[in-house]
Amino acid sequence: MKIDKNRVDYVATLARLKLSEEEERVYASQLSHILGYIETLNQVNTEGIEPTYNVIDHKNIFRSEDLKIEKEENKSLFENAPELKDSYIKVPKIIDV
Amino acid sequence: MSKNTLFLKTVTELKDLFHKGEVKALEITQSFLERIKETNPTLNSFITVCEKEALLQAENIDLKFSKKEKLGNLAAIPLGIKDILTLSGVRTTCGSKILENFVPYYDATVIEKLKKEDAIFLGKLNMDEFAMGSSNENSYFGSVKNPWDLDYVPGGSSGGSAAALAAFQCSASLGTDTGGSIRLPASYCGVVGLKPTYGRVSRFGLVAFASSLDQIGPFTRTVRDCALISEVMCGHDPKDSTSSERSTPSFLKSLGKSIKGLKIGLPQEYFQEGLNKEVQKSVHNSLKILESQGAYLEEVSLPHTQYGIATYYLIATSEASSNLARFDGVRYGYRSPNSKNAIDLYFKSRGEGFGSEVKRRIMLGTFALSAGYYDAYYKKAGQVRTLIKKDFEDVFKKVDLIVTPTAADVAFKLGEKIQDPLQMYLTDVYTTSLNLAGLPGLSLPCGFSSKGLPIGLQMISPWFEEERIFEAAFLLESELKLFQKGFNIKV
Repeated sequence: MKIDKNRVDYVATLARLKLSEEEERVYASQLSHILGYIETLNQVNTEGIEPTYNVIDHKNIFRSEDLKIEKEENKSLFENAPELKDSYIKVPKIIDV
Repeated sequence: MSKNTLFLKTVTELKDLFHKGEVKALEITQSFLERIKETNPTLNSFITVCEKEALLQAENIDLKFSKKEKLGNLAAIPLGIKDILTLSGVRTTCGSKILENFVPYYDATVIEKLKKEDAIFLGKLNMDEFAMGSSNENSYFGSVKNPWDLDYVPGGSSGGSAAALAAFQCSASLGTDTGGSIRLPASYCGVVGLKPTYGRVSRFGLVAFASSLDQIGPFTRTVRDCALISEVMCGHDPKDSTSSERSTPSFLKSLGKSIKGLKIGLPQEYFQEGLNKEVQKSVHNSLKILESQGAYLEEVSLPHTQYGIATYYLIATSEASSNLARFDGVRYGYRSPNSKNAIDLYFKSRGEGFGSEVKRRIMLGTFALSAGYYDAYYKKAGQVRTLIKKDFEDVFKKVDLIVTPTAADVAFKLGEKIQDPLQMYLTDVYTTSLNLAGLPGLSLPCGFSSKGLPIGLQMISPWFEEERIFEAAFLLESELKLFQKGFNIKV
């Protein structure tokens, strides 16, 4: 499949990635090339084959609801925040009025 | 070279020397730290060296030893850790700008287990950004060099782990393998690398790349060291819902066992065109040795092998696009200083924080999962994955072990494939299928090319049967007698 600049733009928006014009140009060509190779999968007859998304038998495990956050842990978590105000993580304005 | 040459010892040798009281943990640790200082400017294998912490750990171990307190199985053994596993209080960068200053407050489960055995942590090792790459050229912290020839790549993504070990900067190291990221660099750097069965080792504390494929494993100089460290790393962990509840057998007990009657399958698809003649010769030489030890060789077929890379790159990138959504510049990691509002902050932090290969893969994965393309790409890959897994199930009904080259060629030159992502992806042609199927695989040095670059051989056992790998690998290693050649590196 040929990926054009519009498709790159659309996918980058879905992925929340700000790309430069140069990146958009390069990715359009590289992704087209890679998808061309990937399409060899169309040679495989997969009719009626169940897809595998996990290789081991998964059973759902519910964690008991006794989650405790120690005060110390809480403090360490905040230490990685880019910007803090009191005990809140600060972000730019979300809603423009 | 420094006077204290303890860094040349294997884990098993160091363990022995320390327990006899012949050397102190501090002497061992200092030896490796000096070696790192001497060689790291050339190799760039360590991103962070934990000198102070390692020396303190060593002093504590020596103190315990002098008081005759009980010590763990890996007491005084200095390890290097791929910078994608959390070590409490030490920054974990994943080779990325977006996590350049991220300091976790907890240990990964494997680290916790190794700490309990009194291993010493020398620092965090360089890698392709978020483990995405086959050459270690995708790191924000710069490329790693191959200790056998500084113009060549060490392989990726655990390039730092393999190069540091081959260059005697640590006595063993940890890496991760999503499509070959342990086995390929082990092969290129001439060391032993194991990717255990999916579910064998807890991934708690491993920054996720592709969750249905990722596995943690050790790099060591010998098969014995590999068995020793793997025993510590494996086992169920309630903190990882994908970790298996099966008990871990003693891998050390497999060493020295006879392989008489062992049936070894040679998949014809792994010995076809494109395989370097010198690699082929080395692998055949090893197969003759295994045969002389009583193993039966049998040609087998894994008919969907040729679709492995395409399947892998759809599944891995799809999972990655979802896993890496957590890096948004809000709670931790890089935040763009240029954003106008909250949405802009996501776009710019991610656009500026991720490197080009990571963005390329997020794009590919997002595309494969997007409306209108999901069935044609992601679901299709899942179906082919079923067939690839079934190929192995069928073959393992007939044979006990599969042997292949780890890679079709020896290491390539720095810069050689960086402009062509598809060529880079194809490097993993013999390794990705194991991750898709969840199988264990070990890469063992089996020879050298005429240019003096190491060649690796891959052994694959059925799910949770790593003992078979250890039996055969240990015997082969003892017959090949390549160990001394490890000292011929160029640093």
